[in-house]
Order: sequence, then C-alpha cells, then structure tokens
Amino acid sequence: MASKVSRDILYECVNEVLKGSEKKRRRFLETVELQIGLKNYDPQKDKRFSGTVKLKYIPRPKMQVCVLGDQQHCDEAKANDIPYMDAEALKKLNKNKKLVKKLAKKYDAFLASESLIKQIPRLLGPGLNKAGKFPGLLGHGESMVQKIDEVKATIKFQMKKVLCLSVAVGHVKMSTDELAQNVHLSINFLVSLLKKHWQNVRSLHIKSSMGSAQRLY
Amino acid sequence: MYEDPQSSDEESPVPDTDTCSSKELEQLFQQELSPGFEVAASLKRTCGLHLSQSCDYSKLAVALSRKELQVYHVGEGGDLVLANGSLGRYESSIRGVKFFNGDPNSLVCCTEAGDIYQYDLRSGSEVYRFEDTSEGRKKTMTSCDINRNDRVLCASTEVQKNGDSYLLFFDVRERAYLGCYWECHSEDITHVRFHPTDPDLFASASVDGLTNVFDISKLTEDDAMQYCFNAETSIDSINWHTDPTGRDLVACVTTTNDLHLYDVKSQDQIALFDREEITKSLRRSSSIDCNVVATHNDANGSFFVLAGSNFNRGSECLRTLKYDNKCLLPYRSFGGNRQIVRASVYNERDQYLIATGEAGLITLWKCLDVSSNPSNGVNSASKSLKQKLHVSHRAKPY
Repeated sequence: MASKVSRDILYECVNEVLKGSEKKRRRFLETVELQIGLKNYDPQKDKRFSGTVKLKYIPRPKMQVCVLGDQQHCDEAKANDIPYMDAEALKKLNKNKKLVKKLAKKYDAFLASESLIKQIPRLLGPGLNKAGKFPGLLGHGESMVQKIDEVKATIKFQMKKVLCLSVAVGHVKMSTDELAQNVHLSINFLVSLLKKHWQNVRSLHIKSSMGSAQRLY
Repeated sequence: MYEDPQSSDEESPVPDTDTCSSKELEQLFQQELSPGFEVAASLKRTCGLHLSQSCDYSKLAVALSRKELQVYHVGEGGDLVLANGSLGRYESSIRGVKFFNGDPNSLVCCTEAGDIYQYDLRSGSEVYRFEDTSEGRKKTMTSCDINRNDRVLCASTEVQKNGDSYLLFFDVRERAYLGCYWECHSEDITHVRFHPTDPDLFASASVDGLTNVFDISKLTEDDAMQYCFNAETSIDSINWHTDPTGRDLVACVTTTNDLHLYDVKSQDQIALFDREEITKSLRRSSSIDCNVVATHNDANGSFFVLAGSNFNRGSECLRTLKYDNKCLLPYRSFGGNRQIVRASVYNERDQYLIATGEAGLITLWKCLDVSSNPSNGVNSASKSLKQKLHVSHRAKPY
C-alpha cells in the first residue's frame, strides 16, 4: 500500500501539533485527532465502512477498564490494582436499570471472563448494551494487563452519513515518534478499509483539541 | 482486530492477484466457467443492492440503488425475465427486500424513510404500507425480515435523534404496529434475521459489534434477550446455519470482511476468520481488496461463504469457500463475473447462485455437481452453442 503521506510531512505536522500545545498549555491533556475528508464515496450506495485497529501507543491513557471476572480473574485484577466485580457483585445489582446505568457510566470499557460474559443478559439486562459498553472477552491464556492495554490502544473508525470523520489517535504528551507511528498506522488502516483506497481520501489533517489543524494530505 | 495492514512506501499500490497458478486453481475450486444467464437491471447506471428469492425459487426481487424494486421470473433453465417493469419506485433508498416464507406471491420492501411496503405479485400492486409513527417522526430503517410463519415483520433502524436505535415489530395479518425493542444496541442496527424454522427466534446485528438473539414470545425486551455475542467490531450482516449435529450457528460478516461464527446455545465463538485468512483461502494476495458478500446454506447441510475481490471492479475473482469443522476450504470459482458483488441468493434445490452488484447486472450461475453427467453442464452447452454458430457462419455464402 503506497503511502501518500511522506515521512517528512508526517513528522513536520506532528511536530507542529506538539509545539502548538507546548506554546499554549491547557489544564487538561489534549487529545490529538486524525481528521479525514472522503471523496468518491456515496453513503447511500457504497458499502458501509467501519473498523477497529490497535495502535502501537495508547492514545487515551486515562481510560478506565473494569474486569467482570471469575475467581481467577478477580484475584489477578486485585493483584494488579485493576477495578473488578465478580458474579455475586453483579447479582447484587438485581438487574436494576439505574444501578446498571451507573456502573456503565463509571467505566470506559469492560472485560469479562467467559463464564461471566455468557450471563450478562441474565444478570444485568440490556443496560451495558445500551451504553455501548458490553464487555469484551477476557480469556485465560492472556495477561490481563496486556489485554487491558490492548483495549486502551484500540480505536474505531466509523462512517456517519457525511463525508468526514475524525478519530483520536494520541495525546500531546506523546513523543514525536510515538505520535507519528500512531498516525501512520491509522492512515494505513483507514485506507485499507476504503474500497478505492487512496482514491477515496480527499484530505487528512491532524490537530490537538485546542490547536490548529495541520494538513497531511 | 487489525494490527498492521500491508504497507509499503512504493508509489504504486500492490495489485491483487491469484497466489497460485490457474492449473492449481482448477484443482482446488470447482470451476463454474460462465454464467448461465445475465441481465442488466437498467440501461441507466445503477447498483443492485438487495436480493430475495421466493420460497418456490420461481421469482427474484431486486432492489436497486436508483430506488427501484424489480421482480424477475426465474425459469427452470435459469433464465431471468423481468416481470412487468418496476414493482415500486421510491423517494428514499431501499434498505431491504424479503419474500414471504410460505407465499411466493407476497413480499415486503423497506425504505430508509421508514416505510415497509407489502406487495401482492398476482395483482402487481402494493397491498399495504407498514409504518411506525408512534413517536411522531418515522425512524430511518436499515433492514427488515419476516418470521417463519409470516406473522411477524421486524425492521431495524439507525440511531435516531434521541440516541436510540430500534427493532420495530409489526403484525402482518392484523396490519398493526406491535411495539419495539430499543435497549439492546447502542449504534445503527445493520441487519435482522429471523430463524429459518423457529418463528419466535431472531437475531440482530449492529455497528456496535453485538449480535443479539431474541425470543419474541417473551413479554419484555429484557426477557426476550437470550444471548449477546460481541465481535468487538462493526457487523455488516448475519445468517443462521446449523452444524452437522443440528445445533444453531450464527455467522457474522463484519464491515472489515471478517467472519465470526457462534454456537448459539453454548454462546461460544467457534471460529473466527479475519480477512487475511479469507483472502488466503481464496488464493488471493491482497486482503484489503477482499469483499465478503454473504454466507449461504448448502444443500448438503453445510454452509459456504461467497467472497470476491474489489480489484479491477470485481471482475477477477468471485469464489466460494465451504465451512468444514472450523476451516474454510476452496469450493467453487465463478467465471464471467463482471462486477463487485453486493448481494446474493442461493437456490439450494437447483444449485443456482444469483448475484447482483455495482454494475447493475443480475447474474445466475448453475452450480452442477462434478459427479453429474458432464454433458449436462453449462460448459459443454456453451461449447456446442459455439460450434453451432461457427457452422452456420461458415455455411453463409459471401
């Protein structure tokens, strides 16, 4: 896949974005977004595109993940200072919609052991579904910390009806290298999602929350 | 989940090709050399988006991107004949079309604007229009399906202004709006599919990555929701299949052309084929050009995946892969395909595959068993046709 964004331009823009945030420091950690303008794409006719990709560096370090675990996973979570709940704790919610909603709001994402994930509809009802926070599967073969980092590093591209979209790919405390790599990976993935690849991309910009947009393509 | 797609700093993109010789392809895939029949849906530029075939396989409904619904007669020889022009023309895009399960003359068609039109093909006219105006504005629809006994109609919606996406239910006989589910998905619901034999069971899939299975005989949405499968990536379409022991399976095709397969009762994900694996099984080189169209039940109790390549406008590759015990095996290769395929139906009885897509063509292939008499095959039929033409041409005085 030919990348139409040269290494020079990529690093130049990334540096501009980081410099911009240095100059005017904000009271919060600014996110860096990749903004995409599309062309030759008809949302009425063309296949819907949307996809998730795991970035190399975590773009949202403050993301809170809660583990809904069996005994083994709860022990592992406790040992690693990771918030967790077991089946008993979920049962105590009594399928109360308000409590489930509150739980959903408290965390950005959930991971659940296989035995628990199968009981979610019965234990909690559709509350997590509605909040868009249905848990991902936490297997026993993988490290919990690694899986959580994976969740934190995963971003979603989602097409709405308009020909532009944006996605968070990093934050201003990342190094130039880290941010550039995340941006590069995101662009390559996006292009791989589009039917006509680069011919569907009209423009690419990156910008920090409060900074000005830097044009990549 | 996608980690690092093909990436190179070369100027020209890597073209998609076969990863083995044509001889090897012939050995791996049963070759359906040319279509049995092909027809253009329109003289004007359009794209075929949805297909549905009647229960007796005699009719085919085609939804076009130019907001037109057509119905074709499918002859015993596999010929397609347009029946009386357009069945319907609409103000908004068609989002789904479905023949009734027990009546080859009735079908429904849903539009983005939130209407579901029911037609009777004997009169060739619209007999009813279902809509949900219970909350004022109609909800934008994304797909529809009708249950096994043709009593319940379900339509899925996009996320509405209030932030909710819905599953709307209608009583077909009473012609009434029954109610909705609205808590089970957080994003656009992309597909709904009733179980092929159980009239109370159905599945919905969404951009939020979830496939929910419901038992609609239960009184509330909470109680109806039986299982939730989380593919963790947007789902484009789903289908019901069974394993060799008769257990229900749900196959989910994602927007990134992966295939997830779940065993419903045990809720286990029994197989996951990402687009790299599917591309490899197809014997193609470029996974970013892979286009998974659908899964279809096969006559022998298994199911297969229909997939192709977007490269060169879809004309290079359209093949099927058979599912067998957690593997996808080379099955058939369809020659003469001239478009990126967007919808397909499979006639299990006669083994016809019908596909439509971005060139607005409707193509029918007759898949014949290798074991059957080769002289009945399409290949030899077309050969004898060519010979006949040759002879008559020669015989003409000049």
